[in-house]
Amino acid sequence: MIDETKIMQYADGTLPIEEHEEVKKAIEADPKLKELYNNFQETGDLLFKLGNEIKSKPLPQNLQDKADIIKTWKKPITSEFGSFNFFGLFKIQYAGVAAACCLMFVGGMYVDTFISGTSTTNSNQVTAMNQKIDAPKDLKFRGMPSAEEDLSTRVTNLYRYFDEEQFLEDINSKIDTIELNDEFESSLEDNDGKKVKFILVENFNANGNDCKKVRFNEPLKLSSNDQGTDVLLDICKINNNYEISSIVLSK
Amino acid sequence: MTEKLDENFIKSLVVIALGIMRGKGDPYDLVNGAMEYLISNKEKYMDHPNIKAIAVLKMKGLFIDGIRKNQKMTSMTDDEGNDLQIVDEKQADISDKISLSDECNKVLSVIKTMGEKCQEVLMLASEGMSMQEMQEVTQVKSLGTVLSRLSNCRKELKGLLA
Repeated sequence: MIDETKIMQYADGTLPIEEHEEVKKAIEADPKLKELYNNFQETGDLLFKLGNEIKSKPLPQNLQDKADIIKTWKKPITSEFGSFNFFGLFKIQYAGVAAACCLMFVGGMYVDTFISGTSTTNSNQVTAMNQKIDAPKDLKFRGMPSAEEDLSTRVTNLYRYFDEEQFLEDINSKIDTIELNDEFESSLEDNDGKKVKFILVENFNANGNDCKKVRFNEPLKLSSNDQGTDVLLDICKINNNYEISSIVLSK
Repeated sequence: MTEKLDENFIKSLVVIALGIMRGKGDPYDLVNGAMEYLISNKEKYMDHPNIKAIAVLKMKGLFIDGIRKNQKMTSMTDDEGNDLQIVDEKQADISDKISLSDECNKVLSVIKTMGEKCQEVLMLASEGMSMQEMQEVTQVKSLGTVLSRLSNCRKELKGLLA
């Protein structure tokens, strides 16, 4: 019998990867577990939205004043990085993050420091990146302290490296001509300058809109201790243009 | 964990404070109290690896202090964790001044009707805390207890929302 907490962790994307198969099979075999899984996904989504909405509200002035005080406690990370090009890889879209968060259904995210393709056998690109950056071992990243960081921070971190606007601009003109399981690329590049490739995995309809599921063609190395995260994008055609309706990250 | 100390850090505390205050009292006051404490003890905490946990524990302490001093809060628990109702029903639900969408308002309203432990753990989850962080701030001995508590509370929430 599968522990319900494992179903919850699976729904949240926090279950250790080695337990995925067992839980997945149990869910597929038992309608009650499937319902439980769906319920956990729903409450996870609701709690995520609630937290983000509360956090989207401006602070009262007395708390804003205190925020200004504590900001001085640590140096801004951008100046710590100096010439490091972490943040120059993709356009940072802080303004879009809050709105995007509200649209997202997130099955679980493990986003930490950087985005880079990784093979299943080793992490060559990470090695290369470490060599290139030569970051000190105790370097701390803004808002990305560990794999256990909060979900909203993870979403924000993903958007530091994923230029949604550019991605949509690239794929809007060609996505309708792409066949299922075909691989295609946009102008997005990983840390090594390698074009990020995607696969069209499903066409579906949602609320009368034509939608597509698009998967990154290989697991992404999104943090220093990430074993590989599958990233799936749902894009739906709204007013003749595709927009991202959800992003699912799972291990 | 090293937090980025800025507005978002304080906003995270507001989410958590809503779970601690249980709908009776101003979460901003609680956050303000914790922030004043942190700022006045800057040298002690500015390099602390989990300053959010310090802030949350301080907020819980302030909440309990508030109960003891004013008895304005909703309830506290006895040694066995059972609710001791000391509700001042006349007091306005100040957290309502945080305007939310209908969907989030409904979720928050339902959470406020739930037990103390569920309110706390659901708002911690809403803030995005990991299980380990939740264990730290709830001071529950076992990670499994945190997991099962959150699981049960989410099932209860789903039932209440249905």
